[in-house]
Amino acid sequence: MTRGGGRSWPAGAALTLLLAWLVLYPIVLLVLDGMHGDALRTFASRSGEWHALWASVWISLASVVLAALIGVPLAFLFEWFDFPGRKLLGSLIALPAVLPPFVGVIAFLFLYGESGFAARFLQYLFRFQEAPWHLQGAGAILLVHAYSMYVYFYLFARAGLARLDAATLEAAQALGAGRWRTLTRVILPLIRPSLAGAALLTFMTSLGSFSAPYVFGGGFRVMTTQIFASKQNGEMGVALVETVALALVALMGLAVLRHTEGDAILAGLGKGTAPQRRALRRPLVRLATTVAGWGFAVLLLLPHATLLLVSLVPYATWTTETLPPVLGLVNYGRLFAEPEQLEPLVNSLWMAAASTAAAVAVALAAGWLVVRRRVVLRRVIEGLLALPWALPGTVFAIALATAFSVSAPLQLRWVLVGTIGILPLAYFVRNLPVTGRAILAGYRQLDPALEEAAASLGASPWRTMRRVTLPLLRPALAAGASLAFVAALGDFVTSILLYTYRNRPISMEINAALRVSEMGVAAAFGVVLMVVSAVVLGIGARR
Amino acid sequence: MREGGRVGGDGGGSFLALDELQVRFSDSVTIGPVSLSIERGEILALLGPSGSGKTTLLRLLAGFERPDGGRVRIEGEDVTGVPPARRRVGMVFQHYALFPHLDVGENVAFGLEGRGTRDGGSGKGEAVAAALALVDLAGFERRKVQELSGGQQQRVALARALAPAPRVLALDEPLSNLDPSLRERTRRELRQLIKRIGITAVFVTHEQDEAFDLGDRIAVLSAGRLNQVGSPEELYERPANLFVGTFVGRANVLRGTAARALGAAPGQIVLVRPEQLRFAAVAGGGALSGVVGERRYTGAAAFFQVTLDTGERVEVQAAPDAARVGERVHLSTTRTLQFAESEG
Repeated sequence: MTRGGGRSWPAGAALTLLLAWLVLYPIVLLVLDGMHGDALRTFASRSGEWHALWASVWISLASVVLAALIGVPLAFLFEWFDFPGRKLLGSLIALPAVLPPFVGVIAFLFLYGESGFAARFLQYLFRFQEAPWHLQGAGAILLVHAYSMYVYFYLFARAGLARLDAATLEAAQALGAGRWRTLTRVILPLIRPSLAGAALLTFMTSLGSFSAPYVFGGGFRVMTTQIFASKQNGEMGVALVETVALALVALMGLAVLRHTEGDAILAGLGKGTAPQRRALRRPLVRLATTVAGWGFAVLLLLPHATLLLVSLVPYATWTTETLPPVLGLVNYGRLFAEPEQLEPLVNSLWMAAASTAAAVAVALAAGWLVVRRRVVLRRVIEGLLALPWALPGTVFAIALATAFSVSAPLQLRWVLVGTIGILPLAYFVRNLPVTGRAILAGYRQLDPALEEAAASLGASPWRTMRRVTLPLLRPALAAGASLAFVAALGDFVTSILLYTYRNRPISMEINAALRVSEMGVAAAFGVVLMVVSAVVLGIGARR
Repeated sequence: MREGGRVGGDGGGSFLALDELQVRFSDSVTIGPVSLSIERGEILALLGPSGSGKTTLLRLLAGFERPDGGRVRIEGEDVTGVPPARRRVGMVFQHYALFPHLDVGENVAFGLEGRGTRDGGSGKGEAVAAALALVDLAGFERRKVQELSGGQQQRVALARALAPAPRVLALDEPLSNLDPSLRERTRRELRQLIKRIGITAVFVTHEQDEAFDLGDRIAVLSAGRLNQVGSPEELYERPANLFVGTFVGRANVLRGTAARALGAAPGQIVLVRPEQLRFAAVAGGGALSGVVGERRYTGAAAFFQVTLDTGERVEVQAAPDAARVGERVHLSTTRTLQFAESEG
């Protein structure tokens, strides 16, 4: 029964075909359609295209460096030293993760934008006539990226440090290595896999980042905003070439960074106990660390607080004052009282829920076939599940829009563009990697003897699934599903390319509200997204 | 396979029968064909080194593996194609496989739920209590399985397997996860319990002591083949081949000159157990000579390592003061077993 999954091959083949149709086929069609001579020539001859491509690359590399510079020292501080408030601060510091990218961007706009709190405060202090800065261009994008992506380095490096064996460090010291040598020759090489993982994640995220360049880019274009602009201008052919180019850069980045991630043996060696945390004893150092830690936490929380504050400002009540003169719950009242406003909330919730449920179901089937049945196509299935992660959201949105804009049932293509179905479909495809990864890992940790025990006690396959497998997979299911749900709920990059008026999600409504300067409504939507995301992630992380 | 083993063929009337069971993992790795028959209420040990196919045989019996040939019959009923859930073979897993999200009582009740014992819970509760009482864990229903010691977990696994009243009990290395100090006592208790219930049991082990203590009969496997089935005495006194002779109990294996000195025909191998060698006063006909190289004291007796003049080393069990290290000694035998060279 367990040998080669013999009789499960039809199910394995069916799942492989389904995934190939949803994940691979649109990309293939995208590449084929993008290879038309005219569009290629137009792309190659415009200098703006090459600028945008280069901007995507260097912005992503710079984001990796900045995020590492903030995240790694913080990881050392919180993993190795003890000071008042360490535990609370340690969890606060991961907070940028609960802000959906687009909501984070508008929070930054309200806080550091030309008419944001920071600018108004400085104007008030120094009696400036105009805003002291323009939050625009590459610098603004990097600021947002650094703020939201250092969390990857912080979490990954902390996990890596926690796995270190204290004995290795003691061995280095016994062999005469000083602090610097221990750090560079022992610690950093040992946590290199974690750092490479964080670098890969940061690179891919900023390569696909759309919200920050869209809001702050101005004339500065990266590839994602370039694709959007081409599509808006009706140059679909050029948009396809741009999309293929972005996909190629992503795959190249993935290949390079994957290569450096390499040896997981290093991390696997350490089986001892992690180094003890050292209490900071010198009063001055202790004070400085504590103050810096709390200062940093306040800085991190400012965007969240700003969003909350702006959401309480009724329309047209705040003009030139430093702080808003009137506060109230008017905006929230409008959100839930006006059907026009409530609709996007309902849309986002049902689309996120449906796409998450579908992704979880596919991941469960994949887990069973890949891990339990070990079907012949298991590697292909795993690869297809992970593929959407390797490509920016813009690429998938354009690929799905290409694949499902034609009615050709014999080619398995139907017209979905312009219907309410395409957006949840896109969310679903984008959710496959995270649910797949979580649930396959959960399946791998599940002792097959438990399911056999249930069978030997007379339980049918269905009852075994319901009473044993699913309850034991619950942590993996919750983790995968909550991450997928939050990603779909806060999605901006896919939505802006594929939404229709009838299924417009919250992020589109925020965008629309910003256009007509309804800051309060936009912020109120943002707060709702933030709160729902935090609650869902909190539930997902519970053991 | 000639002596002592009731092997194959006569499965018709027995309670549990494996007929010509065969599994092919690859061209080079195959198991069987193996035939075994087990009487009602008997405890059979499947003994062999790792990779001998003993666990596969147990999984074939429980239905977790499908054979490529042959059949499994319980009480005359062919269950070869019956899935585990409907086979009524209780299984105790090597690492127990207790459901970590259920408490002790729920674990034990698991097998009672699907089998028509849904009489409003009270009957089920009694059955659970009875099963737990059987393994001396009365009142443990609401305990979490993670809170139990290894020995208690093993007994919960046993109670869970027994609760639905299976026809056969299958145990995969049931004692291997226990403290060595606990093993011997648990072994005796386990045997008493199985005998008290009267259930037919098959268990897998790679330890001879365990097989001898727990099993009525023992099936010795190596490289996917069944070597011999028999009582502990039969295996020890009359091993069917050289593998059984050396795997079951301690044994000295002698070839060539030394073997001929003990009266073996050319090409024969002689197997002699340490307690079947005696220190003799003088070299005589059919005796060996050598020098004592090492002495290992075990209390009641000692093991002497003797390097023979022919270069081979043998182990002799004798009274602790029977010889000294460095002393030249002569050895005689009380009994030897002989095998043809090809049987090795």
